[in-house]
Parts: sequence; structure tokens; C-alpha cells
Amino acid sequence: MTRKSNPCATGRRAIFLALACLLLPSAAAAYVGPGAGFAVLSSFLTLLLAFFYAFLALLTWPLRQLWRLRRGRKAYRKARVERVVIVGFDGMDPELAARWMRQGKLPHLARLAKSGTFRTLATTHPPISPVAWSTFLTGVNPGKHNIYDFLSRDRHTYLPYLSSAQVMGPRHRLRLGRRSIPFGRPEIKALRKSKPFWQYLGEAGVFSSVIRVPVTFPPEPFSGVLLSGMCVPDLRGSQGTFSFYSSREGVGGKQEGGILLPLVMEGDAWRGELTGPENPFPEDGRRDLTLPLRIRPDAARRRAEVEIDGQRVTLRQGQYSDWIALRFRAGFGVNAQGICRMYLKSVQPDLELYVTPVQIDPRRPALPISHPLAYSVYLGKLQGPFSTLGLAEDTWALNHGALDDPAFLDQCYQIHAEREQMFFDALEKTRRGACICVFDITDRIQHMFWRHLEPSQPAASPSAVGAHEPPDAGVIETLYQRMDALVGKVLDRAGPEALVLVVSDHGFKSFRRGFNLNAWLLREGYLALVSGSTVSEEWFRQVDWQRTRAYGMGLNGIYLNLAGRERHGIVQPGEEADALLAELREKLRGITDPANGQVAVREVFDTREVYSGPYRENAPDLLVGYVAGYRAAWESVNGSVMGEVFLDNTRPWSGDHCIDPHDVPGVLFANRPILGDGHSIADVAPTILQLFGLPVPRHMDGKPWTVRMETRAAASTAPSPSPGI
Amino acid sequence: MDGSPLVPLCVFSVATALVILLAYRFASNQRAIRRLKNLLQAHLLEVRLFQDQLGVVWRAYGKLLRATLGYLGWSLVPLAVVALPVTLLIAQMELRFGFRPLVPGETTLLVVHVDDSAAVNRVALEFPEGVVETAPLVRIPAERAVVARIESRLAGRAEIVVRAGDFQASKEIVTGGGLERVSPDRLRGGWLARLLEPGEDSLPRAGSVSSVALDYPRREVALGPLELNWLVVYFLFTLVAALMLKPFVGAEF
Repeated sequence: MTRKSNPCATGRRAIFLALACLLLPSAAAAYVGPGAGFAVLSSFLTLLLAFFYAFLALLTWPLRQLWRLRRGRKAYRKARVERVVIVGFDGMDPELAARWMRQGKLPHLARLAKSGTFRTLATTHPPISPVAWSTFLTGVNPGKHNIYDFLSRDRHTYLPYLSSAQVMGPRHRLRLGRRSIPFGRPEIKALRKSKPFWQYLGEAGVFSSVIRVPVTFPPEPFSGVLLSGMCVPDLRGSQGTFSFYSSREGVGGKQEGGILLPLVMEGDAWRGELTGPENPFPEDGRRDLTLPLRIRPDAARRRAEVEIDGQRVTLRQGQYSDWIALRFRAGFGVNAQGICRMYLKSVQPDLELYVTPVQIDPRRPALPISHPLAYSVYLGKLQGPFSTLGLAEDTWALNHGALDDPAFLDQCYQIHAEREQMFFDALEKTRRGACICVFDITDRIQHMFWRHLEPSQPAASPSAVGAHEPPDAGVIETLYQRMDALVGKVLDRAGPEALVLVVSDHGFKSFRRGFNLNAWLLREGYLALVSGSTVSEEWFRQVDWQRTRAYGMGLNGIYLNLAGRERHGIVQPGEEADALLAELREKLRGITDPANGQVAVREVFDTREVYSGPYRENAPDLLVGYVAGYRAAWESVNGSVMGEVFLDNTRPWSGDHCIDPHDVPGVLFANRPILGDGHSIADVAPTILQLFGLPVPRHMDGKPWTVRMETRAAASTAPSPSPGI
Repeated sequence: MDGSPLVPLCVFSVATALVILLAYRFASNQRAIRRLKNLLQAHLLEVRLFQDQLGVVWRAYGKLLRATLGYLGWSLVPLAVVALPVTLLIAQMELRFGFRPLVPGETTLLVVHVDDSAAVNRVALEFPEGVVETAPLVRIPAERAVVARIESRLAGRAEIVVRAGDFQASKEIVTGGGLERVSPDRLRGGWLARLLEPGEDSLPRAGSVSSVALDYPRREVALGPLELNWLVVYFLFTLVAALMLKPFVGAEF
């Protein structure tokens, strides 16, 4: 008789395995239940997937190499460089950099200036970040990339829209009773035209990592990775709407860039509501999704506990929370996920809580903010959630007093730390090709803290917004020193063979007085209000278009109300328009401020003279070139018509660059000598293409620089070029 | 109780999942586990995103291995916490779901193991009413075993008596349907034998019989078109239950 195997053996083995898992968890954990099982299973799956990817990568590597060689040869056969690293400092000013280099406070930039290049870099008309960075990445003038300001105007409604991208809801909706159900994904339309230089590189097989370069939303496919920068909206679709909660009586209402919200006491806690994105299934007139917020203050310990979306977050006064993941539920299984940070400004006598704009969660992006889509997920998983909003540093919150100076600085440096981390990761990944990253902190801190450099500024007076903080003249100097240290790290990690460029899109100057352009146009009879009105609210609400010949919108632009172009246009194209343009230029050029007799406008540029290209007709007709110290007044920028023609700027936003572009060039540093003069931001794109051995497209306006690519040792012995400052 | 173990298996799976989730929730470093899971996902994406750069891929692969080890390491503590209770539970469940009772009229083998080959000839069996030998006893001195082919004709629980000289022990035989608790083995030994074969008391250490085994048919669990071992079904159910309960318990694993 043959003995059968013991039927109990399997069960016993399982039990022994379960016991053995204490000693050999990786082998036997599956037998002790889901947690352990899942741990092992997911580890196994991870490894399996990794093996699969690695196997696939290995298997297809020769083919891809062949393909790359075939394409890449074009690029690298004539390439003079293997790797280019571009560090963009938004708004770094050449005069300040030169001053602190002379004082020995910026050793790494000084090293570049000595052994490589330090030059001013001509900016665009107007010298505004989205315009200048668009020129940087395309190598063309604004008439070819179609970005003239943050905002453009709708010719039919005279209302503004974001100049870089339009986000529209899904095209189709199904009505079910009181609900309307959308089908499909939101549509995002890029309004910036012309191809970025990394697309040309990609077509030739050169890989690029592009981190937070402005006006790269929506992300366009190319051979490389890209994380979108300036112009990425928040979850509400705005360019950043903070929430500020206060238990103080009478608080409430909308402000530019934020909402002030009252808190209501309920039991032992304050109650409020955090507004999220628009409800895709609007019902009963309630358009926005919200999350209830409960705040339990603990005055004795100067902290508060916030309950939101099933989470409890303990906040200490004067400190930011970590990123908090939020889920706004719309019903039908649809939800929108975002992230925010909270800042407890005070616990008593009034509870004051600031909440950052609810931003797109990079790990679960509600809109594509990277190319490939998985890139933002990768970064979010690698380094944790990070700020994704285009204008992440909340200047409006400081402008309106929702944040104070230290809190704003803290926020800026937190965002900067995130940016630095992702940049160095990109640098490590891009051993060959182009690695480009733009740091915004330089722009934001200079905007908000220039008053500390100039204590005589109106914004530094005791009556100014947020003036309770004692001035700290070292804020901007410290900022430059930190950027200098960053450059030092880049030089170390990039190695001597790489070409390292440090560029800025414009410089910076003081913003002491505002020129109220629309008030001036009203006074001079170019703009008219509907009868009975003496002022107009924002976006020209009370403007009589039948009698208006010119209007100002945005930071530098003047538009004619041109017949056949604007819906209610009255100025006939041709002679009448030309005459009006000449008249406006004549009157504005050299206009003086009655308060001090200073000239406020140096030049008014006719965009027909400074722009060329197929999109020139979308541009303003004139660009006002203010003298340093002046800028368009806050009242005028948003289409309001009210107040004096010249006004003191008393907001913390006390530095600016939206003036005559000749007064605010950017910087150009390089670790190699760059020969010649007259370098412009438009030259960067053609220079990079040429360095990689690619032909420069004929439509590009920039001219490639002559870069001496000898080794560093040789370069360091070369005569130092004059910085030109 | 009918013959399908699916419903009770579901109940046990949900209970087990809950216990293990709680163990993960309170006995593990949730932050570290979450961080390592994120890193695992990041490095996987890294392999995909930078697949043209072999150096990056290989480095990512190394980081993946490191993160996997770290992840398993952080799972050790909750595993240690749940290992004993779940092991005991599985031992008990094995009695219900691992085997089925004999059907009246079904034959099976009874195997008695003794300590020395001489004792093989001293083994005698006494069968209760309804259990009959369908073939003569087979004595295999080389394996120190005695094998009986038996048929159970009556439903219910009964005792087969095993004698070896002065030594006497019994072995339970279960006939019928449903999810009766059946014990395939009776082993000699202390608490460990009792722990692993909890269906019957251990055989006395003093006797010459080391084990008595009854070859119950294995119970297969029908899951759709598949016939699976209960342990596989239990594992799958607990995984699903854990995934479903995870958001409510707030545990990361």
C-alpha cells in the first residue's frame, strides 16, 4: 500500500510559516494577514515592476540608443557643450549684485564675474516677467509670442483675461433636474505662441529638465521633463486667492488676491468655511465647493487646533502648518484635491488665521502641471507636497496685512527650499542636455521689501500698510547672499565641463509714486464716464465707450478704442489713430509729478516700432516707460478710474520693474567668457541651440552669443570682461 | 450551518483585517511607512521618466531596493504584534475550513506512527459503531507505521481506540456535512503540539504512539470558477477588507 501524503501538511506548513514570520518576515508575512501580506505583496509588486521597467529599459536600450544616435548625432555631432545649466533669478538686479560683489558679499557670483562673464541683460518691452521669460524661452519678441502683460483684454467686453492660458470647463453638460453634470475634462488653451528652445533640443534628441520657468502652463509635450511655473492657477482657477479668518467684528469681503472671512463662535470653537473650486454640479445657486473649518483656540499656549476635512492640525502662533491635503467633494464620486498651508497669526485678543490659496496637489493634479503628467507626481512623492501655484509667494496677503513681514519671508523661503530641492534633483538627472530652473523668490522679496532699502519711501512711513514691522535693511542683501550660495552649490555640482548661466528677466527699482493713467486719460478728455458718474469701479464698469478714445489696462499698456477692433471703437484706424497715438506720446513723455517736479514718464513706446510678428495686433498700442521711482498706480492697473493722477504708493509692494526697460536690465553671469556687447534676454534661446550644434530658426529675434568654451582653468586666466555696470 | 465556508471566511477576514489595521495604526511608525511608500512610488516613476538614461535608471533601482527593505523593516513591529493572535486564529480556522468531515460510506486511511519498529506489531485498533475496516491492517516496520483503511457509515462524532501494548489512546472521527470542526492529526507533545493541532488533546508523552492521523479530504473553497485553498481565499479577503477599511481606520500599510 502506498502511503498518501499527510493532508494536514499544508495547513501545518502555513501555521509554521506564520510563526516563522517573526524571524523571516519577508518570506512569510503573507500568512499573517492583510497588513503584512500587503507589505510583502506591494514590495514584491514594486520590485517586479522595477525589474520589468529595468528589463524593458535594458532590452530597448540598444534600439533607443540607435534612435537617439540617429537623432542625437545632429545635436551632439556639432555640439560644443554636453550640458547647459541655466539658473534664472526672477528680477535679480545688476546694480545690487555689483554693489554687493564689490563689498565681497557674493563670492560665487564674483568668481563668475572674474573668470567668466558678468553683464547686464537687456529685457523686453515691457519689462514684466511673463513677457520677458516668454522671450527667454522662445528667443522672439512679444509680437511673436503674444504675451504683453499678465493680462490681456477682451476686445468685445473690455474685460481682462489671463494672457498666458485659458482654462475652460468641459464642453458638454447633461442636465439632471436641478443639477448639471459635466462630461470630459477641462479644456486648457495655451495663449503663448512660438516654440520654446527645449522643444528644438528635444527634436534633436537632447534631453531637458525645465523647472518652474514662467508661462509654461499648460505644459507642452517635448523630450524631457517640465514643471510649469508662473500662471499655474490655484484650485479655484484664480492666480491665487488666500483666505483670512478673523474673529474680529466687521471683518469680511473680497480683496485683491484674497477673501477676508468672519469666524462664528459655536460652542468652544470658532467656525468658518474654506472655499474650494467651482462645483461641477451646481445646485440651488451654490457655485463653490466648501469645507467646514473649526478652530479651537488655546490662548494660554498660544496655539489652536484646526479641524478640516477629517483632519486635526495643531497650529502654533507665528508658524506655518505642513501642507494639508484637502478633498472637496462634489458628489457622484467626483472630487477635487488640493493642498494648503495654514498660518496662525494670532490667538488673542482676536483669532486670526491665514490660509494659503488652495493649490493643485502635485501628487493628484486636478489639471496637468507637468510634462509628463507623472513628473509632478514623481516630485510630490519624492519630496512631499510642494507649492504649485504660479505666483506662489503670497504678495497680496502681505499687501493687505493678512501676513506680516516675517510670515511672508518665512513663506518665501519655504517655497524656495522646495524649488531648490527639485532643481538639484533635476540637475542630478540631467547629466547631458539642458537643465533650466527659475527661482521667483528674488522678485517677490524685492517687490515687498524694497521699502527696507529706502526708509524714506512712502511705503516705509508709519501710516503705510504693515508698517508696524521695524525696517530691516538686510532683507534684500541676505536674499542675494542666499542666491549666491545657491550659485556656489550649482557650480560645484554641475562640474567644470558644464556651461552655467545665471540670468534674470529684469532688474529692480523703487516704487515710490503711482501714475494713475486712467485718471489722467479722464482728466485730459481721452476717457469718458457714463453720465452721472465721476469715478469708475474696476474693469471700466462706468466707462462710456461711445465717448472713450483711449484706456489703460495692465501695468504699462494704453489701448486705443479703435473702430473695427474694439466692440465700441470710435477712433478710426489710419490717420486719426496715428494722430491720437502721437498726441498721447507727446503729452505723456516728460510728464512731471506736481508734488516734486520730477519727470515720471521718460518714454512712451509705440508698439508698432518695438514689436514685429503675427500677434502684434493683440498688443497694447502704447507702452508707458516710467522713470525709476514711478509705476502705474494700483488704481489704474485694474481698470478703475478714480483718484488723483499722482499718488503715493504706501503698500508693502514697494519695489518694481514695470518702467522704462532701459532702466531695469537683468543680469547675465556665466562660468565662461561671453564676448561682445548688447546681450539681450532674447539671445539665450538661440545661444543654447547653437551651443548644442543646432541651427537657429530664422524667426528668432535673438542673436547667438560668442561663448568661449575652454576649460575653466584656461577661462580663469582669460582677461575678465568688464561687467558693464 | 451549510457547507459553504465563504460567509464565515468573510467574517473572519474582516475581523482579521480590522485587528491588523489597528496594529498598523497604533504599533507602527505610520509617518515612516507613508514616506517610504511615497519613495517607492517616486523611484518607480523615476525609472519610467528617465528610462533613456541608464545611469539614472540603475541608481533608481538601487534606491528602490533600499526603500523596499526600509518599508519591510518598518512593517516588522506591527507584524510582531499580530503574528501570535493571527497564528492561533489560523490554527483554529484550519480545523473548520481546511478539511471536511467524511461523508457516510466514504473510505479513508488511519495512520498510526509509533516510536520503534517493534511496536508496530503491538498496535491494535478498536472501531466504534458505524466505522468498519475495509481492508486488513498494513504494518510497515520500516516507517514505524500502521495503516488502516476504514469506512465510516454513520454521521456524527465517534472515537477510534488505538492500543499499543499497555498504552491506549483515542482518535476522533467525524462523519457528516457542513462546517464541522475536524482534527486530522493527534500528536504527541507539549504546548506546541497542542497549539498547532488544537482539535484534540496531545497524546501522552509516556506512550509509544507518536501520532494518529486520519486522512480527511481537503476542503476546497469555490470562488467563481476557481477551487481554492481556504488560506488563499482568506488572504485575498483580508487584503480586500483591509483596503476597504483602511480609510476608516486611518492606517497606512
